[in-house]
Amino acid sequence: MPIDPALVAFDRRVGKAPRMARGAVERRQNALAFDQRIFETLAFSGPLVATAEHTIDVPGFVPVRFRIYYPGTAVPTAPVPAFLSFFGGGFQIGGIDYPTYDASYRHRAADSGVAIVAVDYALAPEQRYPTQVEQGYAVLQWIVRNAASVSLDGARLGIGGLSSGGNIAAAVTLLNRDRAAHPLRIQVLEVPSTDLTMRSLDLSTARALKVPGFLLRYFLGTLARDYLPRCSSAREASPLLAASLAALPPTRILTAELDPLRGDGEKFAAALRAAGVDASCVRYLGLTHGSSLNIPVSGSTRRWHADVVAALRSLRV
Amino acid sequence: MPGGAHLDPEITRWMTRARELGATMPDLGSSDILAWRRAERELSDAVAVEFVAEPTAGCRVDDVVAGSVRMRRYRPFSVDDRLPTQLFLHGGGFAFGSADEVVNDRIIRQRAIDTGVQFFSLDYRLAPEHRFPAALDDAVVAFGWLLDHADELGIDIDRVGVGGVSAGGGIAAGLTLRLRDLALPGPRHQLLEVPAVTMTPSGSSLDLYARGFGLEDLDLLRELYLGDGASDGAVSELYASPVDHPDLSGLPRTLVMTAQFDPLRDAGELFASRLAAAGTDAAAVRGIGQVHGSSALTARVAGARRWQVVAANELRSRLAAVPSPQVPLDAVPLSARVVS
Repeated sequence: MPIDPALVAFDRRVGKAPRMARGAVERRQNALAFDQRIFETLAFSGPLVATAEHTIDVPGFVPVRFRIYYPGTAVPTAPVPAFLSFFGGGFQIGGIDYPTYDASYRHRAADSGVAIVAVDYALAPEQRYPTQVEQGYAVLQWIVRNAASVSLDGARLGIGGLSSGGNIAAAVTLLNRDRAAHPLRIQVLEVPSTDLTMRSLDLSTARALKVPGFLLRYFLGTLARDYLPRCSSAREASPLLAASLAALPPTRILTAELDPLRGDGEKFAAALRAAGVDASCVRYLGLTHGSSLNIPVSGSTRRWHADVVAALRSLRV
Repeated sequence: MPGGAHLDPEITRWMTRARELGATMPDLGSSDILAWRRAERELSDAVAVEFVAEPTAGCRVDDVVAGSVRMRRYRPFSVDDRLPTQLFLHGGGFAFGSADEVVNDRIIRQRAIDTGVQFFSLDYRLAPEHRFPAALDDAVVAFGWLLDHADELGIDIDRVGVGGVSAGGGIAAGLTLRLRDLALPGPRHQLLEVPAVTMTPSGSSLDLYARGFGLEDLDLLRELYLGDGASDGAVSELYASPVDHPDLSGLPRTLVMTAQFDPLRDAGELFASRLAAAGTDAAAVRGIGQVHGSSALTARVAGARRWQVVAANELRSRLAAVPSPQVPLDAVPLSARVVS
């Protein structure tokens, strides 16, 4: 399908994205300013919900901050299920204070009745793999151990992420399986990057995006290179290429038609099914990478939100 | 597998099971269409009992007869008198299937419970005894009858949709167009699942998944449905190929759900694109790893359960949600506005 006309109209209202800056710091400043503009165009701040912030140590790595978004305006008296969420941004930009992420967390918490634990993992290239994965795992450990004290139910936990955050979420899920095996009941991966060797990209989408395929691969490859430490191979940080995908939690994947990373998400779904995991994948036609974040823009972005919320709600039964 | 297809292992198991069972049923493919149909039904039910999850409780089921057509009604328990309602058309290649099949019964029953939508599952006439436009005519009669009897059937006439699977999706889309062209009241919403929206399927999916993906012999079905083309022409065959209808504007909000490994996939997605290009609020989603008939395999296939979640979300948010007023406020004369 052609790109969703509502997205085109919205992008026109937001205006041009800033040019890609050379340095990571400047790139982040630009991204945050652009996100602010998207947020103001959306005029969609998300419902007021109770939040709580924590920063914890991660042995051997830099500390990590996370924010709990509760479903209601007050911290609940009875524990609620929790869902660890990892934002996207090519491992280099993004954060839980970006207004569109903040708004989407609020919506998801309020609409699902599940607390969102938004993990503010460290960004590349200053911090590289496996820092982000260890930070995510540390937050999971902390939630399991301290659940009762923050009104969360440590027996009803889920995990998920978007784009690069989907990669980190899937890596944390694998790490957890091989370490403490805390019971994660669901994994939700949105336009995830699962193969940092860039061999799973679906470059047939390049034409629709009006970008040459080699350029897409090159650009995404630089993001992976900046994320990976000099000595480590891309394989290690690619959930799709893990030695085993058995015994992972039920997984729901969402891909966008006009996104080369749809190849990553759809191959991961097939690999999980082949390993006996209860996994499914739906491709949303007419959407682009990350367009789903702006919930009210179109019928399809709302459907996407409803799909994620249905997955979160499954934690409540 | 052709086309580099990664089929869900449980879908492969389902196709194997259907093949094994089918091998014991000599009437499949019989020249006696009634015998063939009985065998298809027996096969469908035997497989459904294993692969389609048993519905939970929470809905009342009865049959209603509307003149020449019969519908099975699924009314979810509700405190409301008037419920959002969908006229549902089952699949079966225009020549097979019925509202009573186990697969249709289980899926629609669960959907009613999950969404709070009331369903009328139509037992339309089948080809080749009743060729096009018999099924479409039945749908037109049924839809009008539901609106005419909305009070006694507990139907909210502002929230009536149509839906269908496979051949039923094609009939549903044809129905919506037909009603619009006859200037009759039409549905507010369409949910078309792996729909057969064209009599001349096109796109790469047609060749890629023509064999080994559970939907074959499309030419035969076309022949059964349309015959030798010598229909009396009273109803244009465009209504059997909604994708080719020259005017797709002014149609209700539509979601098309397609399966990755379905020969009908590209035509279904093309239909959604054309609807959107004509200004209709239409979108499509594709079930990755799914084949033409797999969306019902809720007992075994994660992708089928997910499919049902997406379908239920759609009905809840776009059919059952409280409708906006029929007439925009600024179209009402100022003096008629009630100021509270």
